[in-house]
Amino acid sequence: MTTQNTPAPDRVADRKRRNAARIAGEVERELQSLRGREDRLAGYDYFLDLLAGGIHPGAVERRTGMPALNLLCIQAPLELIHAAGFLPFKIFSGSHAADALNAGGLPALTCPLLRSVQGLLQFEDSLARRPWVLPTTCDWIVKLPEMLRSTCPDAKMPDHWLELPHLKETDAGREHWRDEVFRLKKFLENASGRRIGRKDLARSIATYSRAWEALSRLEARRQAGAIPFVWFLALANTFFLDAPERWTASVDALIPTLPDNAGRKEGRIFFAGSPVYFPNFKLPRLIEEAGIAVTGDDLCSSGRIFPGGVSADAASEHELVAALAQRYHQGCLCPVFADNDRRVHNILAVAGNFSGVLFHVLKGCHPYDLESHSLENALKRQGLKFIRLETDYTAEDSRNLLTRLEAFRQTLGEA
Amino acid sequence: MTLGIGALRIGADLGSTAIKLVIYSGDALLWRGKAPTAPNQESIVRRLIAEGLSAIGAPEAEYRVVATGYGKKLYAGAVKTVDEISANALGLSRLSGGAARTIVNIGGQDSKVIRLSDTGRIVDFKMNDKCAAGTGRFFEQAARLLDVPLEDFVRLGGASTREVDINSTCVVFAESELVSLVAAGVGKEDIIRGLCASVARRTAGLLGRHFEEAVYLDGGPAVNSCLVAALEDELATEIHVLEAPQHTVACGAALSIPDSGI
Amino acid sequence: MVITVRRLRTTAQYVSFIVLMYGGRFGVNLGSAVPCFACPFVRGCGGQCYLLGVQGVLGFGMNLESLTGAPLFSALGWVAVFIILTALLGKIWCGWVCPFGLVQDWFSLLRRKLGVRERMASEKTLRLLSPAKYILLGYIAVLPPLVTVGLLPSSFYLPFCNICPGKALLPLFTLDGEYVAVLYSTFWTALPAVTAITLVGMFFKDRFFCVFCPMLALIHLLKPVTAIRLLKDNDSCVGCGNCTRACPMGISGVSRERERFDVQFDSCLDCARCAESCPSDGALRLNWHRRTLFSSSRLYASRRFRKP
Repeated sequence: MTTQNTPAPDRVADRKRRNAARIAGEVERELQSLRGREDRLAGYDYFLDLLAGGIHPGAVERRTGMPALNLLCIQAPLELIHAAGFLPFKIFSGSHAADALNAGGLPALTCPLLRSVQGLLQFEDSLARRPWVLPTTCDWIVKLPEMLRSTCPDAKMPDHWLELPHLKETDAGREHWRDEVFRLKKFLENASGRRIGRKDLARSIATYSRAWEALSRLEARRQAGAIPFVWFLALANTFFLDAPERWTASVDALIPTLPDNAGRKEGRIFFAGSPVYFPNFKLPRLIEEAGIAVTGDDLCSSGRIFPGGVSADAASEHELVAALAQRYHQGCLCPVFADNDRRVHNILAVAGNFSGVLFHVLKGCHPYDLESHSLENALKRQGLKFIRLETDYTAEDSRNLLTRLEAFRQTLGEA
Repeated sequence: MTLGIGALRIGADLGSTAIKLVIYSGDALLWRGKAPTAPNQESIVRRLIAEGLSAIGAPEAEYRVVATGYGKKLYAGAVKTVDEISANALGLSRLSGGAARTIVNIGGQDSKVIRLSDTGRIVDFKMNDKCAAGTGRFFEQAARLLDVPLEDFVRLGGASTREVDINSTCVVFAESELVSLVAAGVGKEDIIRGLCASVARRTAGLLGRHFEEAVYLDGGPAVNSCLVAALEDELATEIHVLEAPQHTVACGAALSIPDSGI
Repeated sequence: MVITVRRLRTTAQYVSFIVLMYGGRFGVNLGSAVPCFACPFVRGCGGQCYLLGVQGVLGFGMNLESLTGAPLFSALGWVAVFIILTALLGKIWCGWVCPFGLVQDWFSLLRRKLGVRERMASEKTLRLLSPAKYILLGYIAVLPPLVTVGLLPSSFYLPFCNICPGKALLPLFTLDGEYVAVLYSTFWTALPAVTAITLVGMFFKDRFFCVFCPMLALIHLLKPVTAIRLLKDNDSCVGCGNCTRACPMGISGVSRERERFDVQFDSCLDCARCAESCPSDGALRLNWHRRTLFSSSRLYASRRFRKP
């Protein structure tokens, strides 16, 4: 005779506490390692404190006094959400401990980022208590609510789906997306109980434009070699952890303290592909260990964290919303679009300023995986060095990766 | 033989399965040795060095060591370390007299393909992911399951009359496949030939369809002529194997030391 | 104070406005072949719109007697001056110099201040209207010669000026009521109607009149000899549409183009607002001959948007 396994509640609570501690320990180890770095500057401390304060919408709400709105991906216009009085909070996780919690109920080749997010959500009630907006980008995102039903029964369907047209060069696709953004505006107005007027929009656009200006200045310094990749990632990862004004001010304060010294010129590469999220800085660390400097990237967790720079001279409410819609869709370099040419061309154009390109594929991240092969051929035709590294959140392939990176470093030196 | 100061160049390849060591004087290879990888790799390297130096009759000679392989950081006495892909490229390029354009290396737990330019520089390389399928570890496992010493693989494989189709190259999953083949009464020699063909297919997959001649195979399993023949069939080209193919990476490490010392 | 393209352009527009509208009062005269709306009906102007010259030469002036001697040489001389001026600056005349352009920009500014949505700016409408300026240019080319051969009365010898809203609006800046009253008494009946439409139009649509401007068409026809080019690096462009939204003429081609290097489309004013707002390094460039005057950059664009 078999009996249904019904573990004692206190043992379940105990297990949950242990798992939470493992995730927290992972964060703490990565923070320790960042704090212990020789190239740490006083200006980085604000960002480290944000990471230490918890990657959770609740932490952000306490910090800012604004209600958070949960998001995934980079297509929902942040300015619109901000104009409604919400603080956009992009859910992300680089935790391997959270990733490992979930392997059971999911397809074998699930994107580790999404698996980790699902693991993390078992400890957070953020999706039950806060509005949740989800754009239909890749299959993992589209299927996330369905997958969450088994792992986090408390999570409801997203409060709002943004249907992302995967054709962005056609009129039909553009018009559909504009309608979607106007629908998002209505949803936000209902959720917040306040109308989004043109002054709110203009103010939020200006706020994010200031943040983008700071990010652009930071980017320029990074391309000059003044910011190691690990730090740049850490800074970018904190973008959703505080009010944009404060984040901007902290970046502005950091920039003059960055070293003028640009370091050596050779061995500088461009990092493209799947995003890298705290606390999983395995790959950036190995890259550093191999003597390679990443001075540019194309990650939606870093260089492309938000599009910014929305030209908004037009001042009517309708035009501002339409401008945001256009900027976040047509200018989006996410590889999920059916028309991916602009992205590939853009990487080819940008990569010309570097010695080589490292392409990161998270196992199971199909959009990046698929384009990596055509990109490899195109880049090699241009005479650029290219390396494709496929990995996940586990540490077991570190030596294998390091060997490849060291050999890659050798090929860069010869170039 | 006179040995100048710093004239001995030692390459130590601390691999996942074996530690390989070579001693060069100038461009002349004097000695090579190996030992299975075990904990305390540093002492194994020291022992190999001592063994080699006494074998060439120069126990007091000065030398410089360059370490490579997964365990390269574990030998503290190295004047420098070099990654195994670069070492492999340099070693094989020199040993082949510059003829090699494509290197296929099958190691203890990974396999690599390195494309070389006509000047011996690395043009491109590929390496298997963290999975050890189709590597030396797979042959070890198969040898254990078939109860045949690895050394006998060549002899037995050569005696095979028909090829058995084996699908798996996974160290773990090959087990059930082999067990059922043995149970079905398939001869060990045919199974071995099937294993070699299966590894050859996987290796050829890593190499892809476009590669330049001459193709060299190195790493421990390269001594297996059955595997070489299978790979030749798979790639439809001649595969060159140098003497002591397990040592080419160590040779590359040794040769990466400038002749005048560092 | 940082020198930006926007500040340079605005300064150029105001300086040009003063020179072309009031220069005559201080003895400045840029001649009769100015490639923009330097309206000759503005008393004390500092130069004359060449459309007047075109109509004059084709119509009243080009009778058989004046085809020889000094008038002919003078006419040909002004043609040469016009071509040289156009060759040197292209449509910089439209975006940076034209006084009527500045007046239209004031209306746009007012609309923005009031938060009113721009109308008539859809791609389809603009595509539909794009031949209008050539039709008007044709009207200028056809009517005056009919006066010359006697098929139309001499009152038709300036057919464009008589429907040009510039003629109705720019003289107001002389602040000379008496003069304006006299001038208005000579108007064709069509002019007040055209002017009214233009006034409404330029409030609701940026550079409304430029959509129909025959001078723009004429300069565009001379493009092969002009030195100014707007160039695009299609590989760097991400297609964000900032350029189109910044463009007073609403040209979508700059953003949509995927192949062509030259993106100076026929309604382009060379104002360079597109390049200013482009967030991709080097994706858009304004060139004079082979010299790059301005190249888009992320840092430049990022500074442009900071104010609400």
